[in-house]
Amino acid sequence: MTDISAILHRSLTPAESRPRSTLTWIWLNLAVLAAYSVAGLVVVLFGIGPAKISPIYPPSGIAVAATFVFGPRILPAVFLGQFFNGFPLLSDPHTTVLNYILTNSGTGVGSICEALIALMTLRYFTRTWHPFDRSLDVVVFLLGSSLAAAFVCGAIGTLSLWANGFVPDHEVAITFITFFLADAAGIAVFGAMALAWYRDPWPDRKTIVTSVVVLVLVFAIAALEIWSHYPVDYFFLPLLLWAGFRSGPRGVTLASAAITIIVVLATTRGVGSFVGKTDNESILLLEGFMAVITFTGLLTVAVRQQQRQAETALARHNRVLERRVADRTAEIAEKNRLLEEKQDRIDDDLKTAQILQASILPTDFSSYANTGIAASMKPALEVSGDFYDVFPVDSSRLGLVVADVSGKGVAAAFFMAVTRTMLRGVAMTGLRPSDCIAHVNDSLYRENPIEMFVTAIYAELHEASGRVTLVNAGHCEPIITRADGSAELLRRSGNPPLGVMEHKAFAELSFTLGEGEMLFLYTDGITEAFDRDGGLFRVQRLLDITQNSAARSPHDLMLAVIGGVEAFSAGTLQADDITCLVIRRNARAAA
Amino acid sequence: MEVTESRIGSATTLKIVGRVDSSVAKALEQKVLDVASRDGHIVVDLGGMNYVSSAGLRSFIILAKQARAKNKAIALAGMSDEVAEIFDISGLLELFAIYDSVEAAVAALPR
Repeated sequence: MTDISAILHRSLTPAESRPRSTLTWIWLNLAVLAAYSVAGLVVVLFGIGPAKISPIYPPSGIAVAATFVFGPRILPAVFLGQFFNGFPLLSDPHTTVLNYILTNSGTGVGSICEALIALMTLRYFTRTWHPFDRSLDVVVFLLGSSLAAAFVCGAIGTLSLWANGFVPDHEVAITFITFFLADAAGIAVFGAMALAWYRDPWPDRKTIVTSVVVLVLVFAIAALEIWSHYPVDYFFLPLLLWAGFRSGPRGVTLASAAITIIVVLATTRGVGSFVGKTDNESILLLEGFMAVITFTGLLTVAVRQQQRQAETALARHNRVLERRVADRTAEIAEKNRLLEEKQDRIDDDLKTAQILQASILPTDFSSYANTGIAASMKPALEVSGDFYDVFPVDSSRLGLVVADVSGKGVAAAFFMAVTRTMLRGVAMTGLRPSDCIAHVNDSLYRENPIEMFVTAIYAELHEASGRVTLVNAGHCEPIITRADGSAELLRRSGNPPLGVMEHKAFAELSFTLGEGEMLFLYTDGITEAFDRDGGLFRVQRLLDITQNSAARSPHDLMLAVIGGVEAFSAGTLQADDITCLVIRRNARAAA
Repeated sequence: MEVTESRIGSATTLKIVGRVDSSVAKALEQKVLDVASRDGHIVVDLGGMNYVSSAGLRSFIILAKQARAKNKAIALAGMSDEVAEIFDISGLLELFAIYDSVEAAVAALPR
């Protein structure tokens, strides 16, 4: 039951359902009554033949439009309007007060049913009051609100007329058909026009121009037809479509109303294409024409409205999409800016680290009178994992270090600084080199959270005797350049890198560096440099370069090696840090 | 260098063929870190490795340190005399259990 009452409520809700005072309702009813009556008077003009039967009944359009807008409470005006519109019956001598009241009450009830059925059908099937915006709405309006509603009204009205003796038995069918079709046409033409103009009452310039052009051309086409007697009614069709495309529902309903009026008026005067052999034939021809005009006009407008809605929706979606794209772009730009800021900070930090790292490598060796020293460290990235060191262990001995921390970058650089400081500190305590290295190894092994390790050479040079004590902890094999021009590789002795194994004893090597002889320490950035084809530099090339170096200064030897590596790996990116330290025992000036 | 990985029982076997130097050290390092992060002991088949440079040795040290940190046994199998010499003078032999063949290495793994 609630379902039915909900459906009823929804179907009967008018376009303007706001509450109104009783007085307002009375005024509204009077206004609609007046409009209904005026429209009823006009019908007389449309009457065809001696019986003055109208092919179109505009009051039904007024009644339906008023009910759409105001709802069932406007129905008293509809009833009374129809009641008084029966006045032509008064000219019939058979009319009595009683059968006038009975007959017109019957047609009045018919009009009420018509208006209610029209409203409920459209509302039930389409939930709108404006049958202009979708093709389905147009079909429901024309079949339901117009034809079906008028059918019921025609049946009730004809029955009342017949029951009261105003229609003889043999005219019941034709009376019903003309009654029904005239009402349907009234709703489809004038009802639609009233609804379209009520929804959008204030015409803009464009609509005014359309209206004027439509009225003038309708008149002109009609005049042409009357004057020339040619059936040029099809000229109305492009005019109708133009009005619809240009000004929408208002344009098309105005055009179809104007066309209808002019065609009906012409036919009543016996001119035009719709004058049939009998009056009924004329009426049916007109109905057919009106049906085509309204259906075509309204459907065209509905399709146009749907297309516009689709275009509007598309434009809205596009705008939303564009806004989203703009938002995302701004978001990305902001993230990019933050990233750049972060990158700048990292770059600054790295630059600082580079400066700090460079500053702990000794570069001035001028204080070592008996020993020629040259050193270079060239990082592959901003900071290096390689380092070298030269320091006096005591008054007679020099400490020499070259080391390579596993990995590259900041972690390696930090580990390098730790190792360098640790090794220098331990060496200064006077421990022998193998013990120094063992000590550093254990410390690095214990304090090494990220599993790094260091290959290193630590050597002590006794400046006076040229005696060198050297520990090679998993590092590249040093080269000694001899006075006779030969270059020999100092083999490794089985020591692992630092930080790999705990409690490890490290083996020492001892040899003497003669005057003019050099010790060349380096990292594998040299021997494992690539050329463009992926080939390696290798130890042999290094030996070739270092041969016959008796007459060279440490600096020259160093430049020769670095130059050799650079020439070899020209056109490639430096893959690893490149470090070398060259020690030359000078000839004694005093001796 | 070619590295192929297979499983024998619960152990992962890495077979390394060719030269291992700085040009491939990075790839090998990634591989060993990947293997070390998984379960099971590790056997490295060096039967086809004819040379290892100091940069290549780093990958083996990393592998040994990772394995030790995770309590895994790690064995090197089938290395040539030249390669064994390089490991020896670099002080790295004692980081690994050394076997003549992969079969011997797998048989000797802790259960």
